[in-house]
Amino acid sequence: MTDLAELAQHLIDGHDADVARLTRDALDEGRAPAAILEQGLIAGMQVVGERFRDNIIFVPEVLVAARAMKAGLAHLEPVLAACGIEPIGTYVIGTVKGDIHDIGKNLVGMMLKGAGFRVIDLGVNTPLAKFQAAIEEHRPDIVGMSALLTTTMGQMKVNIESFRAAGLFDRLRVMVGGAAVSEDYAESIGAHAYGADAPSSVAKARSLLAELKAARA
Amino acid sequence: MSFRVRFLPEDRSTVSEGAVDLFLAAAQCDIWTEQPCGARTACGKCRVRVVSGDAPATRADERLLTDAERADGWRLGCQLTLDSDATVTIPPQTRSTAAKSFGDDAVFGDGIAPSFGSMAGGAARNAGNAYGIAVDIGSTSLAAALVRLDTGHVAGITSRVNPQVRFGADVISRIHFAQERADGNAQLHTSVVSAISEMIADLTGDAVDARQVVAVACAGNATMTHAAVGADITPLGQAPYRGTFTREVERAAREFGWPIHPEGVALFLPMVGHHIGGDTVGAILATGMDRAADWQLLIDLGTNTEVVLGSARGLYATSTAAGPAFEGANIEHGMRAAPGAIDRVRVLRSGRLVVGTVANQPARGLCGSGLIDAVAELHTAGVIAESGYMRSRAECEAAGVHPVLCERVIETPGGPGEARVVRRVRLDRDVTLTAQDVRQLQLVKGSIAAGIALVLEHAGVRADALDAIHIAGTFGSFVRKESVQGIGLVPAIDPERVHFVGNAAGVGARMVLVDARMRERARRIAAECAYLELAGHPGYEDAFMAAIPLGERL
Repeated sequence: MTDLAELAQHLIDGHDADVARLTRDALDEGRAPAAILEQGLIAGMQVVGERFRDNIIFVPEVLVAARAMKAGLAHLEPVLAACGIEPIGTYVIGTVKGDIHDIGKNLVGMMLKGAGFRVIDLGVNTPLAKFQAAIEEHRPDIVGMSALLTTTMGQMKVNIESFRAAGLFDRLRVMVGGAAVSEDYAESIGAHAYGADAPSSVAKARSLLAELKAARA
Repeated sequence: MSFRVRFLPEDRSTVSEGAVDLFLAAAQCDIWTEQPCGARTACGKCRVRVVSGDAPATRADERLLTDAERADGWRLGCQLTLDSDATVTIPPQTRSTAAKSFGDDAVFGDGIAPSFGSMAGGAARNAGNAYGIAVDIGSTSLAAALVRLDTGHVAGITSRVNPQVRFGADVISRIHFAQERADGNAQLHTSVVSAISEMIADLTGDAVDARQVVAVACAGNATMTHAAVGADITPLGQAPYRGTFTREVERAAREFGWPIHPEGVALFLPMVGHHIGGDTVGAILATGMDRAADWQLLIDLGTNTEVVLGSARGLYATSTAAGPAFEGANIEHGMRAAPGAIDRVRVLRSGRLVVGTVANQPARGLCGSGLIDAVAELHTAGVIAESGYMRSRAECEAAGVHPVLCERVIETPGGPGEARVVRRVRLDRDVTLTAQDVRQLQLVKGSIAAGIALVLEHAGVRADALDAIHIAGTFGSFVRKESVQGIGLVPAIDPERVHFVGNAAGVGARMVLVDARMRERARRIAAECAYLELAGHPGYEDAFMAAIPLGERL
């Protein structure tokens, strides 16, 4: 029987072919898709996040791990959907209008997927209307916005004010991040959380989600 | 109600009528301060000490300063607003320093074809020799040289902090300032233009009459050039980041109120585009790479690092957002290259680690060249793995690192949101290099090395075919070749062919000022240089990831 801990270890080591193979094997053996996701892929990404935080691994290792996770998810996602297993939450992410930097945002997106979120990535230079349309269409729990420049971070404030005016904060939370942004700035524009780097963004997304679910219950 | 702000150790004061930002008050006393992270309250490096007066701690102070420091009067300068009598000490590490060069006489090896000497009226010649002024408009510091137009000889140099720093530490925060304020563009324009007037006045008067000066040639990046000319800088801060012009600008100097010959001209070097300004065009000119038979690389290190690949066969440029880590931001004990900054690190065969500091003062921080040296040396010694991972003491011992060096690897508990333990290498009694500092340097060097790799790839040039590498920027003068190559910041060609060229923009401005052929070359460089955009480049992410690990590479 496939060892899910081994699957997690291959993910941590960034072996995408092994992750794909073991995911497939586990599915063929009839293992519960939710167990493969949680004990294999999510458990692996959890370790990756902790190692990143502790400076043991860095961006390239996180990226190869994320790519390995993607290789596993490719097999797992159709099955999860077929079984009616829902992602833990939906996250809309994008770099704001005027800004075209995206490596950090991509990393956050990948790690969120690794944590079990459904992630809708709107790309770079995203106008407010595109965020609004994605919120309408995908009904996200969290919207994440990134800005790398102090000249473009003002757009995050504009967006947040528009979300607030539209009454969206009854059902969603907003996170901001990017090189230009600080904890103080995030708070000053009314964001619900600030993501300093990819792993801490995932941790904050999890706690915002828990908070939202508690509020809905 | 008016009040007085007094600055130490100079003991200079300024009187204010209403609440005033610390930096503005200091600037009024001709004391120039740094905000390395652009006042984002991210770096905690702009600290000043309020000796007397009312200055309640802000939340940023509480986050970035210890209780003892706050009790002792330390505050973040970028957050400090004063509204009553106060006395403030500005420590050396919070101050700006300015140092620039304009090159030697060798740049005019093949004689001179005058640019301006003959044109600006007989009046100048009647009064004696004609002179010009070359200006390097840096975003942090300004420098000007008085130049004899018949020989190209430099007769005097002056420099000062760019007074625009009071509106924002870097280019981006100044653009932000211009967006926020109706008179923002006007203030940026007036401040830099008046500072240039003051420098012209410094350089003339005694031996050389102001009427003998017939031209001023300025080299600056796109934002500095737009601001100096009086154009709107705000489009430069938003995608597609385009300014209103790139061509060479020639105006009457009197439009700027510059105190030279009444018919004198003001010239601004042309730009390749928004990311590659007149400063880089000047640097290309100074290196002569546009006429070289073999391919050469120019790297102008800074918060934005420009990379140019060139030869007589073509010019290709790109710009990488390296960030302010070289200036000390985001580095725990990071600081500018001020007295007491560790600027050299060596690991000896005996396992001893020795450091050198600026002005041989007791070590109190780590500047950009020291950071590069420390990481390169500790990588070679086995303390830092190729991936950038800092080994624990036990892992160092297992990896065969010299026992004397192993003693320097220590661990301290991490704070909230930090790593569980913070691993460090003790460089000196009070200065350490943390595992996170190594990661910050990897991000910077990864983005620069990725830019280099993609420009080479774009032009179809192999790194080992490079005939020369020119490293420009003030910072570039102090760093060791072995270390920049050792961490993989620049390709590992023969170190003999790596040259530090200092602030080459000023040299370029001087060349354009003196020689009409150089002026024509500058125009051609600007027109012909191709620009490679990295944001959104399909190969960027892979190139960046490949460039993050340490180690020499070609």
